[in-house]
Amino acid sequence: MKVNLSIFNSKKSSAFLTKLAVFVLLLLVVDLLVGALIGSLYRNAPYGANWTKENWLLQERFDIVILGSSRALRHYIPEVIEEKTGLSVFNAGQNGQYLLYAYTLEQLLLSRYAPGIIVLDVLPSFIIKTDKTGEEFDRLATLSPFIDNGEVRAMLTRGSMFEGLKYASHMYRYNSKILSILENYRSHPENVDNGYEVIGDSRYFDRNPFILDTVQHVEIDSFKLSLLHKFIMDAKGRNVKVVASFSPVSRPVTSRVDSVLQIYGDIFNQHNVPFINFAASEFNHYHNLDWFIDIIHMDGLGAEQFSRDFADRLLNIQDNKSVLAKCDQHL
Amino acid sequence: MLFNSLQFAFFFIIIVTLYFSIPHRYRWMLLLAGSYFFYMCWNWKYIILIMISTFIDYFSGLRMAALQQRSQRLKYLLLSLFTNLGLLFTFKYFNFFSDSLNSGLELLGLSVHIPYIHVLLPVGISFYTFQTLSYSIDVYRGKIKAERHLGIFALYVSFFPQLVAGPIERASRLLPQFYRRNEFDEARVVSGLRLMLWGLFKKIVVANRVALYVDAVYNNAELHSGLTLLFATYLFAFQIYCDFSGYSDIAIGAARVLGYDLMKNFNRPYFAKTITEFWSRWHISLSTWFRDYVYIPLGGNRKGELRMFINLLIVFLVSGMWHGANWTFLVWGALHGFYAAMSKLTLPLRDRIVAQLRLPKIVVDSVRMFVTFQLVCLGWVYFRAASIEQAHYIITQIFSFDWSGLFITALDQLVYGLVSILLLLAVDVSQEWFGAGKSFSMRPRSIRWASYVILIVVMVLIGVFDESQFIYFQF
Repeated sequence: MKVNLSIFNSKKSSAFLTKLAVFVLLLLVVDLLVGALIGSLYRNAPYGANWTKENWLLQERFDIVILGSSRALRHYIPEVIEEKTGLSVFNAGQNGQYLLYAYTLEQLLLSRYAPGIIVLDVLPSFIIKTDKTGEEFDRLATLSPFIDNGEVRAMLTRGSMFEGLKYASHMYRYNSKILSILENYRSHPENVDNGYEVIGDSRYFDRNPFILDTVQHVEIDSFKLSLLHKFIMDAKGRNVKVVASFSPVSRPVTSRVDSVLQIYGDIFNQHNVPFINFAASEFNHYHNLDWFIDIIHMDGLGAEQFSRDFADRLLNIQDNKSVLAKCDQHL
Repeated sequence: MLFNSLQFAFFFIIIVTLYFSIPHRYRWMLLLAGSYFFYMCWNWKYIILIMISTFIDYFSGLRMAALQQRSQRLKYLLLSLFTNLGLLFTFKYFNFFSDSLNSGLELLGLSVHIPYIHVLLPVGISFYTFQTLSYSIDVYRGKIKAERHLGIFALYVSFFPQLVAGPIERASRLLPQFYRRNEFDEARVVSGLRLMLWGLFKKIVVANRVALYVDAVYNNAELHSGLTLLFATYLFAFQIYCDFSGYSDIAIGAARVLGYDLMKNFNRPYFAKTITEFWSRWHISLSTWFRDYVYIPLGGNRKGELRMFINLLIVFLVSGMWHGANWTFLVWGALHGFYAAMSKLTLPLRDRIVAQLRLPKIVVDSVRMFVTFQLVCLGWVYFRAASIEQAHYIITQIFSFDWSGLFITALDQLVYGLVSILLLLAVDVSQEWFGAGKSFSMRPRSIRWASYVILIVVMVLIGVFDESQFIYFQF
C-alpha cells in the first residue's frame, strides 16, 4: 500500500494546515495570557478563603499547621490555640479531603517553609481501601494552581500522560476556580479565621457516620499507608514536629474504628509521634450532643472547648516545649 | 474511549491523517480497524457480538437478495431478527425479565427462582442492533440491495463516530457513502470540527456541570424540598439534552471531517410546540426508526383513531423499553404514548380555542412551548429516578408546593451551570429564529476565530473534565 501523504502536500490541505497551525499558536498565546492573569489574581487574592486557602498558608509563615479533613477544619480554632500557645496557627483542614490531600499539601508546604509543628487530625478511612479513592484523587484538583511542584504534579496526574497533558494548559489549572477567586476581591469572608470555618451553635442531627462504619470490608490500603509513613518521615527530615490527633466524636466509637485507631497508635509509636486519641475513655465528657452538629462534626461551642483542651495538651507534650521555644526564637 | 477524552483526540487525529494519506480503496480497512479498536477500548471481548451480528446480517442479506419471493426471504429475516434481538435480550433484558418474573411468581406464592446472568451491558448494543436490523428489514422489503462487500458491510455496522450512541443510520444512506471517493475539503473539515467543538461544549460545560447538582439531589431525593426537586428536574432536562445532542454533534462532526454525512439527530427539541413536534426534534434517528419499522407496519394512522392511539402507545412503550431494562423507562414511554395520543386527539379543539381567543401567534407559541416543556420534564422525572417509587415521591413533593428553600452546595458551581445554559439557549434561539447557524460560516474569519477561542477558553475554565460517560451509552 502506497502512502502518499497527500494531506500534507496538496495546495488546499497545506493552506488549511497553515491556518490550523496559526490557530493553535493563537490558542497557546491566549492560554498563556489568561492563565497568567488568573494566576496573578489567585496569588494576590486579599483574604485567602475560597480556593485560595492553600495560597494563604504558603505565602505566610505559621508555627503550627493543622492538616486533615472536615473534622480538622471545624474542630481546631486557631485563635484559641494561639491564645494558649502564643504561636501562629493555621487550620488547613478541608471539607471532603483525606490523607491524599493532607500529604500533598504537606509536601507543598515543606517545599516553601518548615513550620514548627504539623498537627495531623486523622480519620479512620485515611488508610482504608474504599471505592472513593478515585474521587479522592480527583478532589486534589484544588491544588492544581501548584502543579509546577513535582509532588503535586505526581499526585494530580497519577503518572498518566493524558492527565499531564491537561495541565500543560495554564488556564486548566484554574478550572472551576475563577468565580471563587474573584469573590475574594469582592468581600471579606467573615467566617474565616486563619483557615477555620466558624460554625455557630447548631442543632444535632444523627447522621454522617464514619465511612469506615459504612463499608462492607475493611482492608488497609498499602499505598495510603506508605503515604502516611512518608508524611511523617518527610516532616522529620525537615525538623518539623508531627503531632497526630483523633478529635472527639459524639458517641463511643465502634470496635471497627477502635481497631483502626490502634493501628494508628502502632504507626505513630513506631515513628515516635505523639498521638492524642480523643476517642479514649478519659475523654468521654465529649459525648455531649450540644457540642455536635452530627455524629462526627462539632459545632462552634464544641470546637472552642476542644481547641482549649487540645492547646493544653500540645503544651504538655514534653518534646513540644523545645519545638515551641524554637518557634518563639525564630519569630 | 470517550469523545470527551484526550485519547479520542489523538485517535481521531491519527485516523484523519491516515485517511487522507492513503488511497481510497484502502480507506474502508483503516476505518474498520479504527472502529473495532475504538470499540475494543471499552471491552475487547464484546467485539465478538458485533462480529456475530455482522456475519449473520451479511449472510442473511445475501441470501435474501438471491430469493425472489418474500415468503422465501422471511426465514432469513427471522434469522437476523432472532440473532440480533436475542443478543440484545440476553445482555440487556434477561436480568430485568428474571427479576420481574421472580417477583411475579413470589406474589403468586411460587418459590421458583429464575437465575440471573452476570454480564456487563455491551456499550451501544441497542444502537448497532437497530442499525443492522434496519438493513435486514430493508433488504427483505426489497428497498435496498444486499451489500456484497463484507468489509464495507462490517464498517456500516461499526462505523466509529456513531457506533455507541448513534445517530442510528440507514443502510440506504450510509452504505453508498463508503464507496464515495472523499477528497480533502477544507470547508467540510472546518464545518465538522466546528460541530465537534460545539458538541464538546454541550457535554463538558453544560451536561457535566449541571450533572453535579442533579446527581446530588436525585441521589438523596428524600432530603430535598419540592422546589429543589423541581429545579433539579429542569436542570436534568438540559443535562440529558446536552449530553446526548452533544454526543450526536461530535459524532456527526467527526464523520463530516472524514467526508461522511450522518443524519441530524436533534433539532432544538425544547422549542417544540407539541409533543408530536418534540418527537420530530428529539433523537430523530430513533423516532424515524420506530416510525418506519414499528408504527407504519402496525397500521400507523390508516386504521382509524383508536388503532392509531394503540399503535402510538405500543411504539412509545417499545421506545421506553429500548432505553433501559427498568420499569421507570416503561412508565416514561407509556407517558409519552399517552401525551402523543392526547396531543393528536385534542389538537382540533385547541386550534379552535386559539382561533376564538385571537391571541398573537407569539403568545400562543410561547404558551404551547412552555406546556410541552413541562410535560417533557414530568417524563424526565421517571427517566432519571432510580425507581417508580422515587419518581412518585419526587412528583408528590413538587406538587405539594412545600417549597421551603433551594438546596445550594456551592453557589459558584451553580452559577457556572446556569451561565452555560444561558449561553446554550442564546445559540439555540439565534439558530431557531435568526438562522445564525447557516450564516456563521459566512462571517469574517476574525469573528469566527474569536468565537472558537472564547468557546475553548470557557470550556477550559468552567468545563467539567472528569471524562464521565455519556448517559446514552447505557442504552
